[in-house]
Amino acid sequence: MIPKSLIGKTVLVVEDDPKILHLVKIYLSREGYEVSEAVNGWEAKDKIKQLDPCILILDLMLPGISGEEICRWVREELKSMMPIIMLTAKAAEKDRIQGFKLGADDYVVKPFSPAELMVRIEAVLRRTASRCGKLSFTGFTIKPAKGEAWINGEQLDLTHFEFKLLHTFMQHPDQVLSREQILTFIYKNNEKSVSDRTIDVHIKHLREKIKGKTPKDYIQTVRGMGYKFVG
Amino acid sequence: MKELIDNFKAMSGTIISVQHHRDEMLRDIAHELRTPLTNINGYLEALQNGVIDGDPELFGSLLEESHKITRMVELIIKAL
Repeated sequence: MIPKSLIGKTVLVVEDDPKILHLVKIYLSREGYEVSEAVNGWEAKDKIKQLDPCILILDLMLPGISGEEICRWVREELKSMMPIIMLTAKAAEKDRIQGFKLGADDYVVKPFSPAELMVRIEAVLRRTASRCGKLSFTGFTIKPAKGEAWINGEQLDLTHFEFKLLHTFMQHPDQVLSREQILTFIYKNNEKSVSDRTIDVHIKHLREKIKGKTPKDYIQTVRGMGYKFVG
Repeated sequence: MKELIDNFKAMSGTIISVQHHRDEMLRDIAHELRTPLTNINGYLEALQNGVIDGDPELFGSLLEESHKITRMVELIIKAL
């Protein structure tokens, strides 16, 4: 199974063959990634700008704008080091060399093994993980570097403590966290003494803010144990 | 004699262009085969490993991919 640190990482799959796209999405979702898709070059550019994914899986022969052009655009115009894995029927050595020269991090030739693609994605993310701290679960996204949290495109207005609380939860999806654990994550050096009651109040406020944007119950109470973030 | 040499040159030129054309066609075919093969291999791998469950719809969709390959093979035969 995928290392916990990669769960919630956002992946954009750009592929015009619907069956290949569907299969790759099945594998990615099952590993815990938050998956988005684009089926042509124009949509790919829009989604890259809009979602700023942690990694891009890019077919080369696309309707509209070619994968090569998208790769060049990401590197030269967006000046982004976003990891890119090219997934393509272009198997010749010169194509592979061209792919790496354009800035690909890996190059996978069709037909490929989906299981192998998953470990290649994992390997690329391991090497580049520090570039993307963003985590996303069913439309709920946190951007630690920018200090922002978004639900379905709407930004949440959080206090510093609520933000740290949310980040802690999203780093440990589907895990029950006790109040003590939460405090250790937020104040690593015990620099502040905060009571359990205080945590509860902050969580209550955080929940109310989330509730203002979505009916989904992301932060759940586990009786006698603590809280759990459900993605 | 000069006519013979010219004819020979023209002929070898034709052969080179035919060969070039054939190489290009073979490259295109190999390339076109990769998409249906990706689907057949990929979905079979997923079925084998229990990542997905098979149903008539999926089998039909894979059959469609293998028909694509069959059609390409027929095109190659015709081109020979």
